[in-house]
Amino acid sequence: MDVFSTYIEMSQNMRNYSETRHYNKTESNATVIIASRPPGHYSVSAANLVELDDGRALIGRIDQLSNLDKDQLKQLYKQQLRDGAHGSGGAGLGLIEMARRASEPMEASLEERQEGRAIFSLRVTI
Amino acid sequence: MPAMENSPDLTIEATQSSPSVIADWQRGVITMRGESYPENSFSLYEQILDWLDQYLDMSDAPLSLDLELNYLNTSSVRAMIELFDRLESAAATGRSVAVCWRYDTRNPRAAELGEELKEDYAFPSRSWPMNHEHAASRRPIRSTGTGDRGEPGGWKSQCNEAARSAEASVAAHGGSGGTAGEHYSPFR
Repeated sequence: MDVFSTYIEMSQNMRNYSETRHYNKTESNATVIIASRPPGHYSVSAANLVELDDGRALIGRIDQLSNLDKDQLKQLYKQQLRDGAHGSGGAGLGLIEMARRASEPMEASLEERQEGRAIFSLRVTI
Repeated sequence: MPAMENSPDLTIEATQSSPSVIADWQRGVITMRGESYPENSFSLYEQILDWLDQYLDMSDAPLSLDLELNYLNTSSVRAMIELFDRLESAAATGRSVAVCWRYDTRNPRAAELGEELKEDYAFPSRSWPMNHEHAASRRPIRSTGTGDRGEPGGWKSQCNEAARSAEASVAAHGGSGGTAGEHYSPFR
């Protein structure tokens, strides 16, 4: 269930993002990979094209989340549930959800490309 | 969707990523069953919110939410919060409202979500574990002892009523697992 929910949040986050940025089909390309990581763990990974500034903000956000314990994440989740504007992409909430399901800190990286863009990669281990 | 004058009920078929919804005006029960992770949860929940607003506005009768949702994505949870907020406001004005949160005992995340939602609200809500045989056939677990159904009009009897109505509604709308006429109580 946690793998499934992480997969859903990740793929919907990416789709929402590329729609917000009006990316074309090629630019919106993304794949989510689920792999088993013995003993008893799974990783859910994905990469997608982002604007460099957005990517840097995301990395910062993920670093912040990785410093929080499960109780703090729960409080933040509840706060974000109420604060987030309805209908907005709300990647914030999805990221918190993933952080809550993760068994180790989320791993994110940014690979710069041309024209102020980058490939953002995220791996969540469940 | 039929106009309000023709049928005050709201019926939405389940899809792979969205639950079945039956809002029964006569009984004052909104039943949702399945999983909720649509791309656009707002368009789904907007219909339910609209129905709820009309019901709360045009009627004085009690309202129950009978929920059996195995999984909600974050945007569905956000929409669910809006439903619960409406109930909370109605309860604050003396309206009788209740939520029954049913979950399969093999699904700890569903139990946990129910608990987390409950923490933020004052209106009555009841977690209702089901063992998986019953959950699989979408029927609530049966009580072995004599149940406490609460005082007439209290939320417990309302919740119980919601459950019975849900079964009847699902049966009437062609769903599975109808137990019309059968008596049970979830309350120990």
